[in-house]
Amino acid sequence: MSTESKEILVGESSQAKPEKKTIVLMASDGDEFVVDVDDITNQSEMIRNLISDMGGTDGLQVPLLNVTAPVLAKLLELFNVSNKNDDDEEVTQKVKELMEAELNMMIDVLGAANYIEATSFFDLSCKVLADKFKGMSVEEVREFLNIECDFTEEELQQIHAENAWAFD
Amino acid sequence: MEPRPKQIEAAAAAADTALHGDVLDAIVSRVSPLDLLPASRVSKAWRTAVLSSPRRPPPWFILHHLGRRQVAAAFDPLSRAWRSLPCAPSYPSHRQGPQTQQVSSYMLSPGGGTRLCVLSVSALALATDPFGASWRELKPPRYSRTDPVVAVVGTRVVVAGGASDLEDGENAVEMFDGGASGAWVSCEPMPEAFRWSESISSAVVGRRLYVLEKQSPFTLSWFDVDSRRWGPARGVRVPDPTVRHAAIGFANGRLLLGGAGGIGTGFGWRAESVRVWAVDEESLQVEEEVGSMPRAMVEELVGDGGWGLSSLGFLSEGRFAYVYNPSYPKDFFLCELEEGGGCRWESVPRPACMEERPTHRVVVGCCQVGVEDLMMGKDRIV
Repeated sequence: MSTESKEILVGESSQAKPEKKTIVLMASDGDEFVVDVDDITNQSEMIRNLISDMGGTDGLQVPLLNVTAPVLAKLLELFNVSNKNDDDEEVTQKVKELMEAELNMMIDVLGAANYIEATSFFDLSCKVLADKFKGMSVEEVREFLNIECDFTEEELQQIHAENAWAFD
Repeated sequence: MEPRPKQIEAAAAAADTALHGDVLDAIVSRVSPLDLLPASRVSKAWRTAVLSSPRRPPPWFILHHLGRRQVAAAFDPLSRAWRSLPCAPSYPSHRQGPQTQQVSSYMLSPGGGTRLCVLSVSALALATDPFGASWRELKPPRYSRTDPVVAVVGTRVVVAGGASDLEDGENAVEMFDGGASGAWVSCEPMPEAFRWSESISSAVVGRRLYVLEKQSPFTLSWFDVDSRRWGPARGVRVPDPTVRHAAIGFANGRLLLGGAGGIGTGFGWRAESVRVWAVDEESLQVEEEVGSMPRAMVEELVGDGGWGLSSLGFLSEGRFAYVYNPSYPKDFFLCELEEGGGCRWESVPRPACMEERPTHRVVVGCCQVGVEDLMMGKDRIV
């Protein structure tokens, strides 16, 4: 388990103005990520509420028990893209690229975004994934997401009987 | 946030490698119900997510053609496509025959949206699903009526106005209590101001049925299903004095009034604007403007065939409203009411069926459609 602190300033370079406030996010394996307060609260409702509950950001460390260091690093990287761009085009593109390259990582990033209540990023990423499987057949969805069909033959027949009764 | 033992973390991390729980639900909620039909066969977890999704998708717009061969077309905003419904709505079959049937739509609350209804001298049949595949039949109301307002509020069915066979019965209101008596009861008649109304627009808000006279002086009133009485009737002072046609709806938690304004007089009148206002449910007066339709869309709405705009079609549900021209039902516009106020407008592509059968009478509907509505096994049809 690494204990060194990683400097990741979301949205700004590390030569940020000295008065920039930061907090520390701790991944499940103990790795620490220093993030700019404005940039993270811009994305995460959970952290925004936490800071307001704690009455400030001084020395705040937020343990994210569900999020591993690689996933957190990827999520912060995508937040960075999101914070730098006014429209969602660029970040949508990055999420798409991640989905095509590392699907499991993308799904973990989605889970982490949901966990820290990064609502707009989560919505956007879900849309990317939803659009992807929209035109797929059942078999293609199973293959794409590596899901095993756990229906019995009888159950499958019953489901087929509930045909989409009316539409072409 | 307390630290958890290592083994629980490990278990959580292992589970996180698959698509499940909240994330799966969130993805499912972003896809059209039609696209979910295959998803419901992927696995048990997916099936559960598809069938239990608590989402509020945009409502579909449904065109029911009333021809010899009844067909319907439905617009699904999530996939932005019209789908044709080759199997006709199965009207209660033993009622078909020489007797006159009036096919229209009724409003449903809670749940929202509209469904088909068929009124004849022998029955009032109410569709229980968006496409008219299954029906519930009631005895007919006492007065025979032409184009009454029909609404289902909880377990009660309200039928108002349109009565013709008795001199003082035109405004008669009857209510059927499906939960208790199982019979029609007479209620306080509609306010006198509606006696000569040519057409009425209606909306259900909570326990109240609101009705609006669609033309000046835009009389608005409401009927309470619990007390069976009417509230005050008032003319709505529409902020745009050029508004000639109006209609009401309920969306985004507010009572809305859509109004078409224009220039000219008599037959020379031409619509130039469509605006949407929020109306206070108690004072029955306009509170604020919610949105204004882009000018180019108003042009399309009025139509190039010289039909003009002789009334305003306005159907709403959830956070959405459809605007259309009832005498030229080819162009439809979807208005999304945004959370912080304001609207986003989009044109709905033209349905092919209206190009093929432009003169057929249609009944329009607007309601949310779930996967369960599309999975209609025979056992669902009653």
